[in-house]
Amino acid sequence: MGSYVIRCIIRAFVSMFIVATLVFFVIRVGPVDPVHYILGNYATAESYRSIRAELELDLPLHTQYAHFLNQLLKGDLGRSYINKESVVSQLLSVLPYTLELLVAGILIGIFMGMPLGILAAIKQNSIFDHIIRIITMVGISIPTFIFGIFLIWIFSLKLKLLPICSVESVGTDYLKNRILLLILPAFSCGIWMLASITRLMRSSLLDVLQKDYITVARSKGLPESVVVLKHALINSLLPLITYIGIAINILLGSAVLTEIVFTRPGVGRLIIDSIKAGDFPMVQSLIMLYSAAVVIVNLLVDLTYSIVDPRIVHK
Amino acid sequence: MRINNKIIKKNLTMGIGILMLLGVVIVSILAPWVSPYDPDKVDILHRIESSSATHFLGTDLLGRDIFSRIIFGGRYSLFVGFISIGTSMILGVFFGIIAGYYSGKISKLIMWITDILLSFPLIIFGAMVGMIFGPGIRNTILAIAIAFLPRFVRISRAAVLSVKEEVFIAAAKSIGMSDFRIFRIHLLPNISSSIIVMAVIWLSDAITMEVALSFIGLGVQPPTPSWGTLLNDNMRFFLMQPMGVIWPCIVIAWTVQALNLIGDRFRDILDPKMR
Repeated sequence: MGSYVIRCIIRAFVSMFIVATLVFFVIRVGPVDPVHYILGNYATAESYRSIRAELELDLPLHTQYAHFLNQLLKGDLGRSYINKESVVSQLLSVLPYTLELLVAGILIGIFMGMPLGILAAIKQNSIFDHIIRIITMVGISIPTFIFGIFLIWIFSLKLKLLPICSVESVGTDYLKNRILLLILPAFSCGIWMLASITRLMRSSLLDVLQKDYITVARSKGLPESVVVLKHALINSLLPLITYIGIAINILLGSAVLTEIVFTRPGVGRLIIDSIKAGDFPMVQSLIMLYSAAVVIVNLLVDLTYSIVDPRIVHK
Repeated sequence: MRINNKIIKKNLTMGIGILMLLGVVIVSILAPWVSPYDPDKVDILHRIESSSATHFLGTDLLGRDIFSRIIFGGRYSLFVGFISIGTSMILGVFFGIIAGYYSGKISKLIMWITDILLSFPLIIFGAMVGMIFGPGIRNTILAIAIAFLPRFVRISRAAVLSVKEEVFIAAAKSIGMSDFRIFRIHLLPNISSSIIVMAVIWLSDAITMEVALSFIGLGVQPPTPSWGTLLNDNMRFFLMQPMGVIWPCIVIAWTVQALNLIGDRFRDILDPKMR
């Protein structure tokens, strides 16, 4: 087990390194000239030259790469070209916002999705089931940022219930403001999660309810609520946990656009803004960190499976 | 097989999806004849108007008719979606067959690159490709095609792996059939159903991705009226007249929903029937 973890961590570093190298070379060798991208069409020759020198683009490729590796080994992930702040500090300042969005989205998905799924399974083919299935059908299809725009329209513009922009506030108001600003984006991210989990919960529970041990429980005379909640439910959770691991990856993608639509600070928005601005040092380091993070998150999810289902054994 | 209640009931959602999609596709194809205005015609005097008798869905920041822009936008968005998925499918199947049929170093290399690329969310991947190649329609198609390539490689490989062990493949090899002929005559027909199903399902994601990329400015560029650039342009006056953004959103959600309904039913057809 320990060796599995170590192997995964090594894999994280390897893929981090490979992705960084890929991005490094593609930026420099690719069709778009990085300096031209940054400066636009009306650059003077002088500024062009000075930026090229600053980004070390004049040096031969292998020298640039050697500098890059050197920096990496020292643990320096570089600075943003645009605002001169270190990549890590910028990342850490926006990370909490993304994390709270992801967690809120997952919680909404789980705690609203599971009851709906259970309801749909228990009352299969009833009017509840049909309504829930229509909701999930829409929830799964609709792109998250489109749903987000609808939410802003309905709740912020029409009903004037929730704020769109953040107002700088301190003290007690700060927490309230932050939570209020989280609600709509969290639902925007969470709707897909909610729909998927509802569907999954429904089909998983329906599967489990066919099993023999449920028939045994019923024939023992146990009330239906105990049969469902105590026996069936626990056993139908495993596919869900498996699914949440996959869903986290997809949620990360939705979070990017949600952050942009709601103009929230966040990791996804940082990456996209850096890409748009042509902030190559930043993009390199962020993508590198991202690929490492994905491997580690997958590792954590894997470890959770093996805790939850004792039948799974890691070689 | 007579058309009875049972068949209608099972295929109802797909039927609705097909009708919804046909509506959008037909209107998009007939855009030059159906649209009341030229989508690029600027009319500053009548900017940011809401729905009126002269402008069905209102006008945008430059006075262009939103309804016309949405109709023409469908052309660009659907075109980008179809072409990028088609390209991705052809290339993905090619690499997937190689990765699945041969089990050597090349196969391992292909799958390893595929796995790394799959770990990135579509939008970040697409934005990166957009940065490397620059914005514009052609590069947007390229970006989306590259973004979906790992997915197609993976499912093609999985499908090939399951067909590879069949008796008829061994028989074909034993009579000395060339590999390429085996791919063409035996492998492709057997894997095509699963690949087409995923292509339809991913088509909705491809269109969503075009909208997203254009929305953040890395895809199709204004003034070309794709749905994504419409959202980008009209977001500027969202607070004054939200319908400029909401109408394209409704059309996008409609199209994506239609494709998902069709794709869902396709996927059910493919799965062994259990329920």
